[in-house]
Amino acid sequence: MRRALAALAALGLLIGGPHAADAAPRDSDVARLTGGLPADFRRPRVVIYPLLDQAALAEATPAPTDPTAPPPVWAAFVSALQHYGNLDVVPPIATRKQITRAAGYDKSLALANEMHALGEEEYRAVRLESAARRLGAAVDAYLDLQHDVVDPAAVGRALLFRGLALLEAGDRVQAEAVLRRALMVDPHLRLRAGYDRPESVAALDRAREALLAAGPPAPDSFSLTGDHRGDASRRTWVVFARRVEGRVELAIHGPTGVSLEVQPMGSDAADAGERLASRVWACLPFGSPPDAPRHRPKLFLDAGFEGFTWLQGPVDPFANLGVGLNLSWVAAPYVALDLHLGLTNSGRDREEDLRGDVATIRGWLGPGFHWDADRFRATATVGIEIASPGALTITTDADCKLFGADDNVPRALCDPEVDIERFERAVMVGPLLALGGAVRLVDQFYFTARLAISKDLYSTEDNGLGWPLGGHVGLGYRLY
Amino acid sequence: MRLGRQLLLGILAWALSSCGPEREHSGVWRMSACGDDATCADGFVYELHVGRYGDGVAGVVVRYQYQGAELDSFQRQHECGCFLIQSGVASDTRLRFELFEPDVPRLPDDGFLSPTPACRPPPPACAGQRFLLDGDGDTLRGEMRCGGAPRGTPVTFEKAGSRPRTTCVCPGAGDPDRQCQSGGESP
Repeated sequence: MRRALAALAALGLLIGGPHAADAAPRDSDVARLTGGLPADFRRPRVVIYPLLDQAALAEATPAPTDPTAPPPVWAAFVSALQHYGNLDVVPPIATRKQITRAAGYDKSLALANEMHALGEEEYRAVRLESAARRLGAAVDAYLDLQHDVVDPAAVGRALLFRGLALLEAGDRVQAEAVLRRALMVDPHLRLRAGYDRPESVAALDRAREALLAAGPPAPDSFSLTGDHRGDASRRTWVVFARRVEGRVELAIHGPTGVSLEVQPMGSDAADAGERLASRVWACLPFGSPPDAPRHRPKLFLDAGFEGFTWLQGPVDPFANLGVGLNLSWVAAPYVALDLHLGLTNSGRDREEDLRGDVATIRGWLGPGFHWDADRFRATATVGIEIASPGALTITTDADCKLFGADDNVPRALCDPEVDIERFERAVMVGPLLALGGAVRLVDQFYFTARLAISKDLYSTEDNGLGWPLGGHVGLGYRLY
Repeated sequence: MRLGRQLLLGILAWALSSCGPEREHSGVWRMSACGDDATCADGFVYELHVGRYGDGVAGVVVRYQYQGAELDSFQRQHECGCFLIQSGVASDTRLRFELFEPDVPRLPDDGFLSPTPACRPPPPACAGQRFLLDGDGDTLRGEMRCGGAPRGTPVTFEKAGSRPRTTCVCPGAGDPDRQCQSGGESP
């Protein structure tokens, strides 16, 4: 149906040309947003990771990190993005919670914390190599859990002690690399002059100055080609952010790759945050209405008793009883294809003009309307029927009925040539209308009933039969 | 209107097929009284094998020689002729029919011929012998009348079976001297 409509629309465009398309301009995203979106609108999910505040690297003694009080530009950005009703925004606080709700997070974190604590003890006990190794393992475990997002101070501290252990062990190069990494995770990380070892304070300062000299390097999540964290997918976008001197940078991970946004910070931090949010919103997809429920084809098989009578015939109506089988394939919503087969044998007409059993085979095939809801089904089918009534022997003469074509019966009473009519088996073809209903009894079993009537338009034998009207009752089963 | 009638008939056919009064009187009927006696003046008793189809009636009438009240006369060895029914009509509770060729008695069953027929010489054939009967499912009463007679002989028949005979053949079938004058392929 949707394909047919699409084909019609394409045909309309072809006929009407570009003006036809112009005649009905599509609403802008802003207009759609203003007009309101349905509750089941499929919103792009935007997961925002906490801001990495690398501007703090420039401060000798920065204030401790407070996740609940982010920089104003960042708070304005998150707030503005959340106001776009077409987006499903996961703010940084919720992102942290999502990370901590991951399966096995608590258990793995406890192990990492334990390794971290043991590493610090070994550092204090001057078992430097073992301390560096254990702290390195703790850091790896933290990063696997994305604990650097949840608690960057803890991960930064583990890296710091690993760097100090390496430093005291004499591996100065490796130690400063680790210390730089510690500052990348937690830009607020500092040692206290006069309290911590001067060599350690100096090493960390050197690492900080090295980062500042070249400009703080972007974290891995800003890489356009490398691996990145996050859970970007077909409907999910992941936003990483960092603040450096005078600007905020975003890395937006989407299903097709990574894009970068930079927002200079002027005097009005809130305005800068809103501008950045506006740009991010513009580059994200708007979302889409929910897909129509996808139809699953169904197949029903009914078997049961069948009966019918010919409303038109050379004798009074007579009953035909037998068995029937019906297959109903619901290919699309409200559309079914029905196949029916029936085999019956005749009874007698009222005055027994019909002198022999008439075995009839009927089969029909056709599309139809199908409706089902909970326990009930209803069908209306228009199809083509092929019916084949058997040979007919008919007489209205009482003597012929009683004696048959007995040679000993005087011709004056019964002359078979004159008084008995015979017709060969016929094949009749014509349109059919069938109406049916079913009620589910248990599981996938149904009680079914169907009424059908047809009109033959073609027959191989002019036997006078026509308009078969009948019914079918039986048990049905939904095969799939 | 016609389609509606056909539809109604079709539905009725389901429920009433072969179960209505159109089969009433079909079966075997034996004479239980002829006037005030058990047998008629000619010394015969009659057995009707009737098939009714709506308002049409067919069948055979078998004539037996009466053997007395103590004996069963309706035995094959006492058969003295079989007659086909013609012009049979029925309406509700009434049956009317004639005997076909009443002066040419046939045999009631193919191949049966009493080796020593003990039939009394039949009376002269009654031209257009008719039965006019009326009754319910167990008893038929009426009269047996010759064609031109103003009044007939009162007769009573009782139901004796449900499966009528359907043969009544010429004696000596295949014999060029057979007695039947007409019927079948007879000359």
